Amino acid sequence: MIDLTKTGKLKDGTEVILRPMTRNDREPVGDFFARLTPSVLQYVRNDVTNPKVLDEWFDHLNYDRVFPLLALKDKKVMANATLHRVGHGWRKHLGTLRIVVDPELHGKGLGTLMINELVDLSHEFGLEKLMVEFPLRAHGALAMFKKAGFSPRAVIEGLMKDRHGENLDIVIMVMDVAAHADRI
Amino acid sequence: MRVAVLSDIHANIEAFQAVVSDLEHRTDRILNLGDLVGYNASPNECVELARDIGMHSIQGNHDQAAYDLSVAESFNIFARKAILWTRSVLTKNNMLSLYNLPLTCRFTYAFACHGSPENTHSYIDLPFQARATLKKMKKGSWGKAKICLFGHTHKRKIWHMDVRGKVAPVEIPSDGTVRLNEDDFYLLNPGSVGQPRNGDSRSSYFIFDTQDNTLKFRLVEYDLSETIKKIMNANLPELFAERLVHGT
Repeated sequence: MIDLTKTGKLKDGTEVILRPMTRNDREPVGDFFARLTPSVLQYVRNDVTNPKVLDEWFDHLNYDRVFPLLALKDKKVMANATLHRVGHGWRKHLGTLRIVVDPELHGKGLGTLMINELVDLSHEFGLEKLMVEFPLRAHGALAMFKKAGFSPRAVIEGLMKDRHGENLDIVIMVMDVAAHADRI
Repeated sequence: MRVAVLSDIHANIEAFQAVVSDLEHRTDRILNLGDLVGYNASPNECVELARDIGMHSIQGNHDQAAYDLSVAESFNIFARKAILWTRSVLTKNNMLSLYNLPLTCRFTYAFACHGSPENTHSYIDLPFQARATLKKMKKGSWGKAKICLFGHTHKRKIWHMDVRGKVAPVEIPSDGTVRLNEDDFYLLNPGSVGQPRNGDSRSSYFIFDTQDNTLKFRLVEYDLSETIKKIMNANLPELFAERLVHGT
């Protein structure tokens, strides 16, 4: 794997390294997910506390399908963001984003930094639209994606359930990559 | 006068040579709308060929990043990797050539820029972006020219504003010939020589006849396998090779 690292600076001046996840990251990525609390993990799509799930990820890394971006501070993974693509059909032009940030760095601009990087990469990959979905009550995420250029397009009431079985409203946000490409 | 308008050569010497051969002295001037380097693996060869054939070039954002790394801070990790590699192989003389290129050029027949007349890094890709640029052109923001030549998107495109101020894209016919209306304003993008993104892997450019006010778009095949081989040998991201194959 060629070196694709980039240094980013957070609001408080902390420097982080951004780079694609590689096979060698199995351990630090496992440590990252192990540090997360159940309240954060409930929104992660896969059961990342299960070592077999992570093994499966690392055995089948395919950047054409899922492009995983890590943020590291002192060699410790502080955030994991993924850009999901479908190579054919009606979703070919559309990418989907997912992101998990260590609560230690919440509110410091790390999420925005990673989303901006994935938006830039989406343009490089030739994608036209990006989509993200998350619970409506995640006000921090809403602000973060708005700041990155996404706008809310739909709210689906009571679609998901939280870990206590309570219904959750989901917001779907979309970005037009070409319209936002002025920053690239 | 017949002007060959090229853009976004991006260090693809095989594509550049194929386009120069395709010209066959049919033009009085060759104009490049920026980004001689970046992405592909032959930056020195492209800067030198541009110099040898006396091509008029303006600066693109990748040309800027090649001599000023701070520009690459806003690049994505793949484009940035390519610029770091380009800087490692580019000769001082060729870097100086890129540094000395102008950002824009005013000709009697057109205004030339890389991204948009206001900013090398901006894109004119969507209707609202074209409309904003054409409105400023009509107000005379960039001189009297009714034609703006631009690149950066890697997609061949014509945007047109009629006398009523209506802005719309113009379809490029299969024979590539388009006659421009003297009363209207136009934004013209020749596409990319070195990394086309119109869904066609062939290099794209056009010849502008300033007397007849006609454009002739051309699509040129080149030795793609050689370019890909050089990308892989230089340890540049495989993504760049894939983009060339698919023209995306």
